[in-house]
Order: sequence, then C-alpha cells, then structure tokens
Amino acid sequence: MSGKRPVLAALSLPEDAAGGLARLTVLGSREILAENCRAIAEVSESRVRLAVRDGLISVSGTRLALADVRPDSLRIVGEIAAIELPGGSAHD
Amino acid sequence: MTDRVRLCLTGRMTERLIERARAQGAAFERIERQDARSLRVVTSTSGARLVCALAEEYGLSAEILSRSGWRSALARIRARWTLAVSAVLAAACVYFFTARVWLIGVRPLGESLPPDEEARIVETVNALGAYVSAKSGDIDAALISNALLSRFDALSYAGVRKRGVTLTVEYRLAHEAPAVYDVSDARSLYALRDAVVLSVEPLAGRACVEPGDTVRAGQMLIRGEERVSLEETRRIRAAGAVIGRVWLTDAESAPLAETVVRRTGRAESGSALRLFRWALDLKRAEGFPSQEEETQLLPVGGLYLPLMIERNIFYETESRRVEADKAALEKTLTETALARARALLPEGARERAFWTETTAAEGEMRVEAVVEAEMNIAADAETLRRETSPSNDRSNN
Repeated sequence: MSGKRPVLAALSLPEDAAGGLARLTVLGSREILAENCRAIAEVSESRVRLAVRDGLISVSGTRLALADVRPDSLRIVGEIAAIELPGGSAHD
Repeated sequence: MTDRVRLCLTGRMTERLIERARAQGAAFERIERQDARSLRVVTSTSGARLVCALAEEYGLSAEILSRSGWRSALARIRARWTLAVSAVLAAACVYFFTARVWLIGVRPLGESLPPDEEARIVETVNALGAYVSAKSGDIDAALISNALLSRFDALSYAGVRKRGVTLTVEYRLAHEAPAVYDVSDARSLYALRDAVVLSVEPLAGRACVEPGDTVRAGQMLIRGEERVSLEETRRIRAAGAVIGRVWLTDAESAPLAETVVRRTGRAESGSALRLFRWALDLKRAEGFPSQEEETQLLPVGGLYLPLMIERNIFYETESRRVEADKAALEKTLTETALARARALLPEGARERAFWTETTAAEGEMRVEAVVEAEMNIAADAETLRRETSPSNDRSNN
C-alpha cells in the first residue's frame, strides 16, 4: 500500500479511493459516517472505537450507538463530544 | 415492509462477533450498548440468523426480542392458521344464515282472521317452499301470493315480503259484494210468520195485501209481476218490505212440590277386614229400608300386605214432599220463558210489548210468555223454506 501513495498523488486521486484510509464524515455533533473501517473495537454509550489501518479512532460522547452498519460503512449516532484520531490527536 | 429482528447479544467481546457477522455480509440497522455485557442489535432476518449461529458457535447468548416485517407477519399467521380458518367458517356461516329465511310471520292489513285460519295460511306458505331455513332466493313471492288468493276466498289481497331473514305474509280480508238486483230473476215475496200487516212498501211487483190484513205464514205478500201492456204482464223479481205485528211465545213449567230425601239421623255401621277379594266380617250392620251408604277404607299400617278395614256406615233416610216457594218459582219460570221468547226475535225486529200468564194445575206451575214485536215479514221462497224448516220451528202465535 505504501507504494500506492505516490501513484495516487501523481494521478491526483484521493488516497481513500484505494480503500486503505478511513473516511469520517461528521454531520454536526450528532452523526459521523465512517467508511473503510476495519473493525468495531468497542461500542458503549459513552465511547465507540473503530479499528482503522493506522490504529483506533475513538468517538466519545453520550448515548452513542451504531446505525446502518454495513460491511463497508457505518454511522455513529448520538451526542458526540470528541473524536480521537490515531496518533493521539483528539478533536472536539 | 422490510423484515426486522431485534436481538440481545450477551457475553464477552460481543463487538468481535458483530465484526465476524459483518465480514460474512450481515448488515445491522442499529447497534447499541444495553449494559456492560449486552448489546442490543437490530438486523434483518438473515443477519439475525447469522448472529445466532455465530453466538452459538462462540458460546454467547443471542436472544430474539422481537420481529417485524412480512416474514414475521407470515410466521404469526402460520402459527395462528386456525384463526384464518375460523374467520372463513364464520363468514360462511353468516352468509348461509342471512341467505335463508328463519322467521315467517302473518300480518293483517286491517281486520284479522281467526288464529286457526292464519295457521292454515302458514301451512300453505310452507307447502309452497317458504319454510324456516329455506333459501331466500328460492322463494317465489308471486306464486305464493296467487296461491293464497285462490285458496282463501276470504282474502282480497295477499302479499309476500322478504326482508333479511324474515318472510312476512300480508293479507286483507275481502268485503262481501252487495247484492245485485236482477229484475228478470222472477220471484215473489211471502209471509215468514203469521202476522197482522201494519204497512206495505212494494218496490217492485204488485202488493197482494193491505194494512190491517191478517196473513198466515207462507201467504203471498208481493207478487213478482208487472204489467207490460193492457193484456200482457211479465214476471219480475219482487222487492219491498211488509211490516207486520207478530207474537212470539214460550212456555216453561215446573212442579209445585218436589220430593226430597233427607236423613232421619239414625245410623248404623259395620266393618270387615279386607285383603284383596277376601273379606272377614268384624261387625255386621242390619241397615234400614231406606238408607244412604258410605264406605271408608282404612289401611292397616305397618304391614306390607294391602290389608284394610272396610267400614260401611248406613244412614236412614226418608222421602218427603216439600212445597216449592211459589213466588220464587214463578219468577224463575217467567224470566226463563221471556228470555226464550225474546231469543226467537229475528234481527231487525222491534219489541213492542210482552206479557206472561201463570197457571197452576195438577201439581205443576206453568208460565207462558208472549212477546209482541214488529218486523219485516216479507221473504222469498228460499228464505221461507229455510226459516220454517223443522230445526228452526219454535212456537209462533
């Protein structure tokens, strides 16, 4: 996969098109559409953790749940307070 | 309506099981944490099947909380198939019930027939195919109506009405047609009774009597004849009224004294022991020349045999002649004789006077009652024959 990045960049294609990177689409503070996630690591009312290529994405909040879980995408619904990306940088 | 299954997944590492199910193609509508060990999952039927299989494989607990959608509805229907069958049966019963007649009634429009005649109407209707439980469509109302009119002369109208499960037969009685005067039907009028003529009103024909005449029963009063020319007459139907004074009598009699049997007060009794046909005299009684006898049967209690004591009591009697109360007897005989004389008055007669005559001879009282009345004594030959037949013959002055 690391060899694909320069090719994708040269072709000006988005990196997530190759299916490697996770894609999060945040809709306000109530919904996150997550694509290209590898696995669901944890589901609880206050935290949802998804395994991605580079580590874990952690979404914290209240009354969290997963909706429309499909093999290639899922939605995290609830009152989202913070999103923690792999690498330790948390985004509120 | 998509099918939807709500599951409760309990155990450790439930997320991993969800992932495995996702990897095998299952999709989930919702996943939420219920408690530390349980996840509540909403998925399709196939997804639920996959989750349950994986749960069993990995030793987790998967409990189906609810189902919705076409498949679950179908499963419910399959589980309650008898409900559908019952609904169809009920609908069939209602249809068959309402398609038949269960009540048959008779309703008069105006004056009604006697109950037995109405029962005959119902029997006729039944015989023509309109009976309880008959198919409503098979009942021919016009046929029944015509049949009733032809079989019952007293009816002027008969109609059949079907409403729901009720069949109603309506009828109206016929009125008697007025008599038609046919002048060519030749007849004369005669006296019904012996009478003194008071007035003569010939409407058609020639009067044969005048007021003041005394006529005998059967005497011609108005001749059915009219003059066509000086030499010729023709026979016509006589009509008119002849008012005459008539006297109707009746007599009642009864004896002035009657023989009464009374007890003198003396009595004797005898008894015997009786078992079936055998009797053993215990006490013999002589009896009296004239007596009344009374028998009593007294069962002997405590035994299983029909053993009885038969007691015969003889009361001496004597016959005496007792004079009747003359005043009361005369009153009774008078009332009876008058009532019977008045019963002889025909319809339309007017009573003018009455009197009675009482005689007593040979130990008997006789009361003769006479009722004087005015009435139309003119009648045709047929009526005269009918009124003067032996069964109608009563005393007439």
